Amino acid sequence: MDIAWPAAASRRSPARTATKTSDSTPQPSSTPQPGSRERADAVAGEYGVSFLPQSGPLQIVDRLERVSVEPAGNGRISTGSLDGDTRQWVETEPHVFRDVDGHDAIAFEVGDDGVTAMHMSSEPAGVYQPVPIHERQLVSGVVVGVSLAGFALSLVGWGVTGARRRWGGPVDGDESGTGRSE
Amino acid sequence: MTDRSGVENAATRAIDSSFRRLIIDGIERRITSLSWIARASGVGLCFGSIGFVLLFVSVIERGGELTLITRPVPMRIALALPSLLVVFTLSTAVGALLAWRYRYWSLRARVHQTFLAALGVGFVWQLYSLGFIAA
Repeated sequence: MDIAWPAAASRRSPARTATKTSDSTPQPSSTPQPGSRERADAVAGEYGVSFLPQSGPLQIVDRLERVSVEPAGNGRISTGSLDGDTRQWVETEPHVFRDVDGHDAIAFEVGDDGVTAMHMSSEPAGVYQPVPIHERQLVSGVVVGVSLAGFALSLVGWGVTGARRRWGGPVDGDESGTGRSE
Repeated sequence: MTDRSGVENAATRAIDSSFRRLIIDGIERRITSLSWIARASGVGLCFGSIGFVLLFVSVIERGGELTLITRPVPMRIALALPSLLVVFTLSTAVGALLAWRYRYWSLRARVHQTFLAALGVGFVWQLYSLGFIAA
């Protein structure tokens, strides 16, 4: 397993990272490193932080706190979350990225099957783990949104059908289920 | 005078009795009708799902995520709804199967019942995935 996180950086607080990065952390260069585009594609996905509950209703907090990672072109990646915190990162070492507008850093642990963990220097207490596709925010949002829209439209449809029946308008088919039965 | 009031009382009792009989017969006819139960489950699923989301979001909006730990009464009610939604989803799905098997309602109503069952399964899957339904 390729653990790309520099050992010293993982134990730094964000404040110390700010001072240290100017001394020891490799500075991002304007030209992307060889293979950086492939690595940016490889680390793309959604990540959930490990210290949040993984069972019970509190799981929804975990679902809302997810971080999505996307390739941003030129070997860079961008991260985003539901609270609107979007940041761009540039690769300084293979699988290690530094915040373009700050001093935060993220590193990915990469195994044979892809990324196994993401570490963020500003979140030293937790490890971000990749989330399977069927548990991603987008899937949940689409399924819940479509379901609620269907339920709401059904209630509206029943209301309209009932109103038409009550006030003598034309009703297509028997929607109530109370008419013909077994 | 006494005879007249006695007749009035008897008439009132007869009307009450027939009215009560009408209501009881109506309820009996409905709760023993599989097609009515199937459709009522669909209605319950729609109201329950929307009600759950509205109640849950309003409690979180007012009290924050801490209400998931402190569990005030509205949150307890909200967290009790997903189990009910599982029952509604199952009965809606069984109702859809019965509707196709025994040709309840119009074709459009049968398709709608099937559509509701599919939406219910998706919604309950997400509730399970989010930890609102214990395995």
